[in-house]
Amino acid sequence: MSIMFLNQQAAEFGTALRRYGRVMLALFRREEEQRRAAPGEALMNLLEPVFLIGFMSLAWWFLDRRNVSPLGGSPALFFATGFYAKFLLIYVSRRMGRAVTTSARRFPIERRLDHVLVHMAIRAVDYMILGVLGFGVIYVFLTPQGLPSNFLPVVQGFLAILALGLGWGILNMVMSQLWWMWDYFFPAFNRVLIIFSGIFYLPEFLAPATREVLSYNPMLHAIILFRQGFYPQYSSILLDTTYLTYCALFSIVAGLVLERVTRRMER
Amino acid sequence: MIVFDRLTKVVTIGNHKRTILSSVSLSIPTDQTIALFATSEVDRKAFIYLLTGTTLPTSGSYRKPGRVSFPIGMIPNASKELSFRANVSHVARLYGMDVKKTIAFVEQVTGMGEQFDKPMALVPRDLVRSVAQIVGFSLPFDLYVTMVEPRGPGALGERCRALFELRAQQAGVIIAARRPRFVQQHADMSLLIHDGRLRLFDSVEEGWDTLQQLGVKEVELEDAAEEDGRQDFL
Repeated sequence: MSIMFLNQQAAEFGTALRRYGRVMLALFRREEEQRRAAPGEALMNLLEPVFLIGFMSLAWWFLDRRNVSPLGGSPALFFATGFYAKFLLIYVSRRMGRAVTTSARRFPIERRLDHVLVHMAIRAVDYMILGVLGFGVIYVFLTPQGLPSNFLPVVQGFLAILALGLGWGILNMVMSQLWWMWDYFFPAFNRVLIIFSGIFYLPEFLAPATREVLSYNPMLHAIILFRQGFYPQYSSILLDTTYLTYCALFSIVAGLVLERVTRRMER
Repeated sequence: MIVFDRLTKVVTIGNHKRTILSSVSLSIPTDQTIALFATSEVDRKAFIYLLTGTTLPTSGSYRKPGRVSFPIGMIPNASKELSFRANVSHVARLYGMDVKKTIAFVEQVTGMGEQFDKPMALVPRDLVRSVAQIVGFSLPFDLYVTMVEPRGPGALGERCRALFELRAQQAGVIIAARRPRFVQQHADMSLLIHDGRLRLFDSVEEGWDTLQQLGVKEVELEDAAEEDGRQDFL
């Protein structure tokens, strides 16, 4: 009797898993079709950090600091390692589309979390392609340092930012449903955080008290880790990978819990 | 049977909260065609979203048997930049249907020709609405929940009604009704949502008469539905 029950449970689980896989594949396919139909918007969103890196490099050139970078070598590479990492977080956590914010815009077979995960996965792939192309251009035209000397911290930094982006993105999604001002507040706040993430300076050279406060920002650690893949000589006194790991894990758990407890409040 | 157990549904409209169902316990048969009446379009829509599983109850629970359709009469999150072919493919893939067969069926029944491959934004709205109904009825479900009575321009409306009648013979249907004429011919029972309560009647006439006693005019319901349909069928 109990074996029959277990077999039935296993069969039901298998069916549910197949259905879930089918829904996720359909959503991926759909996203890809939509991008092919209207590629401009997705491309412009993706190129925002490229414009910023270009603008900052141009400003440095104009100020006659074209060879001055906090870690030596090309300033463009220094800005690129900072902006790329920061904009990965912004890109992953920003508004996730109508289907996520309004239940009537989804088929009942789709869940809000399915859209969130598809959104994240696609944007992560976007950024992988952007990274290969962008750093490839830096490697070919500006400096051989554009090719990471150690890929492990680059991948670790990338994964940590994705985890932070999941929690931050779900918080963004829930808050935008609860408070209409959030949609105006969040992008501004996200960009203000650029200043506190050590993108165009080295946080190690700040005053100890300021450094202490800034070190609570997990993105600061993620950016330092990401940079260490490109600058082997960069040994930071601030980097705490344990803190970053805890923040990343907490962000995933907090995001999933928040999504779960607010399901019944959805419009 | 759909079994509601002390189910409450509250929706937020702007800064206001509206109680659609207040601690309702009721069993609804799913092998019949049931007309759904409501004194407000908001109540009707919220109930349909709840029934199809699009939204969750605020508190309490309910059990549904087998496969329940998405709200028929709309293609949720349909992309206006994409063609009907791409949107129908997406629906077929989601529900595990054979994509080619589903597309061939919808294309044949709608008889749209070249318009089937045009972006949806370029197709007349009443045509989109009819096709949305046909897409819903083209998939096999145990219970169809429709937001509108089957209709459409010319021959397409007739095909829509024929498909509705075919599905009504094979499965249960809950149909949002704004006027008695169509449902009197096709429905066996009726549901009425009013003031947080859900009532089940053994005939369409009883439900309609009760609605009239509440002072709701047929024309008001149709106007509200038209206004609502302008923004919400996609």
